[in-house]
Amino acid sequence: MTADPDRALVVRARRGDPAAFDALVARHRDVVFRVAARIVGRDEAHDVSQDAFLRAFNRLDGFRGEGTFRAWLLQITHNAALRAAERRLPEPLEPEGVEEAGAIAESAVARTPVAELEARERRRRLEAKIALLKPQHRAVLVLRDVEGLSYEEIAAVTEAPLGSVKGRLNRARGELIAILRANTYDWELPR
Amino acid sequence: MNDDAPASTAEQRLQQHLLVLREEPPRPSQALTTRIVRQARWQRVVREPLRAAGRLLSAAISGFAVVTGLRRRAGQ
Repeated sequence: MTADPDRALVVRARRGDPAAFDALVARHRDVVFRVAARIVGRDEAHDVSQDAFLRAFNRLDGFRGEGTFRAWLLQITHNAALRAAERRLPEPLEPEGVEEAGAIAESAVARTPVAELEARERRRRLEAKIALLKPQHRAVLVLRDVEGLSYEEIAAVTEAPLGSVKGRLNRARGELIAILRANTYDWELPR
Repeated sequence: MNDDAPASTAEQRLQQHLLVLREEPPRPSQALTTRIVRQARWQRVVREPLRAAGRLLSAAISGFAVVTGLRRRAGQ
């Protein structure tokens, strides 16, 4: 088992050190928000992320350290996101807002404005199509193919056996390919 | 063969599309961090008194049950 880089912070946070919990939030807020946003949409991702962090905070004594803190936190995020997704249909992610224009400009340095617009449109369309998958399928697809988690980590996060994770991922990829093939936009997916 | 290797050309192409999503990930606002940290600190302040009040209430209910149980038995 690999050493958990968050162990010292978790120990300090458990002892009541508020700065340690703040540091854990700062360290993991991006991945928690990304996973939440890809499952429930950007608007609801803020509430889901807050819910996940506060649940983690209140259950910190129950974290046994069998896996990493990150995997445990993502498990809480995944469950919170699925609960939220069950409550209402997800909205596709919208293109980045004005406040994120700086980040966009930075990532677009090497592209022409037309190519960048085209890439953003493809991303927007793809995100909208991913939102059509079942929440459980969407979750494993995002965790594996977008966030790059290992199968073992995904099994821990989703609390599912390894075989189920692989099966769910295969089905998710197959469903997404079928959805994209049915789309009028050409995704260049040969049969 | 790695069991994660895409099985078909379509799956390989899908992987390329999905990689594009990593280029511009959704990002949380700074306000989210502030909100979480503030809520956690507030909850830390009220958590212990609430737990103590809960334990006290639970003890009072148990005590009441014991007393009423004894009286009922004495009355029979």
